[in-house]
Amino acid sequence: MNIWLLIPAGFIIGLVGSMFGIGGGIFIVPILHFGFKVPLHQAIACSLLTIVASSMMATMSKVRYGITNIRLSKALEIPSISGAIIGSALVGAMPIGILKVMFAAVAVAMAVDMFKNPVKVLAGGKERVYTAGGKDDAFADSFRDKATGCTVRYQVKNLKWAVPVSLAAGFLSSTLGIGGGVINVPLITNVCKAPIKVASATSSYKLGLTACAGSIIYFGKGYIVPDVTIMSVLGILAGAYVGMNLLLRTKAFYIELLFGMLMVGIAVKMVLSL
Amino acid sequence: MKDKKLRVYIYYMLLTGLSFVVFFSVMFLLLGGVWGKLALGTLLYLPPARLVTEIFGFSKTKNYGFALISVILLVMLFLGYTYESIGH
Repeated sequence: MNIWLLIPAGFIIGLVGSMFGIGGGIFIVPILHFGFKVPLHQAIACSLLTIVASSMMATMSKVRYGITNIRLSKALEIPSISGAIIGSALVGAMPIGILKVMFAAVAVAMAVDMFKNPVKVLAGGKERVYTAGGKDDAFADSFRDKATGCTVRYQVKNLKWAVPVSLAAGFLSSTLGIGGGVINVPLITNVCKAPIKVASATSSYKLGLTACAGSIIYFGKGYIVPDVTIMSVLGILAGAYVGMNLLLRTKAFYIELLFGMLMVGIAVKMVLSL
Repeated sequence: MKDKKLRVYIYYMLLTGLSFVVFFSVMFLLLGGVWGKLALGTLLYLPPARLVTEIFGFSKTKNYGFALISVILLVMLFLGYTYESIGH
């Protein structure tokens, strides 16, 4: 296949990844391996670098507009990386089939929770309102939502549950080989009760570091194929730029609806891969 | 909006870094050779550079707890690389 096709493919992956706060490794590895006949290890190495690119570009503007909650990201990074280290150490000893079924069940439950607000809005109700309420803690923050023109103030809740869940998320992400974003976004939305845009931005912020840890090693071992990676990176950078602008201008319930559908799709894929 | 100054630092750091990545990538497409490694190497150094920016930003606002988390993450990143590079 013509290598220049990686630019438009990367553009679409960057756009989706930046909007939903996911890395896009789930899409780029099969495209490189099956479409461009890149060996699997090199495809994974390339995908990790493209995740770094997508995360850095998405972070740039989301940080500027104040959507990213840097403090929340800091609080969840160490548990999720620790979980990933534990997971990679135990990967051979775990009953992967059972884990996949458990993940699929949790993903469907989280998707149902994510559908609640869009269904209410589509049925004619009012969109969920976030209020800071009570005393502001270290994680409470606000941002200006370009889609509605309002300032959204929110409080981060259940942090005592979010930390162990983040550890479990890191564990699942390394044992099941799924990206952190698919777990991070529902975790921040459903457990921490933060708005979906904050969840997507904070997840993008977290992803870059995790992917960088893996890609430094692949880079050192010489697994990176420069031409394929650079084509993908250029496409992804452009896509991520458009994606984050779309995220800023799209109403939250549309993002919740689409992300819920993505979760259901991944749950089905997990069950089918048994 | 919390950590306003830190956000500004991170924004400009990433803007500069990504501009270099795009410049080196275009040079690689035009000329080939070492430009590719320069582009990808610059890209790889952005997350650690962001951590260093966070340490600086949080220390300036006296949020030492968050600065410490960034230090721990930077050490974890360095140790992970060292552990793999010595042949494990």
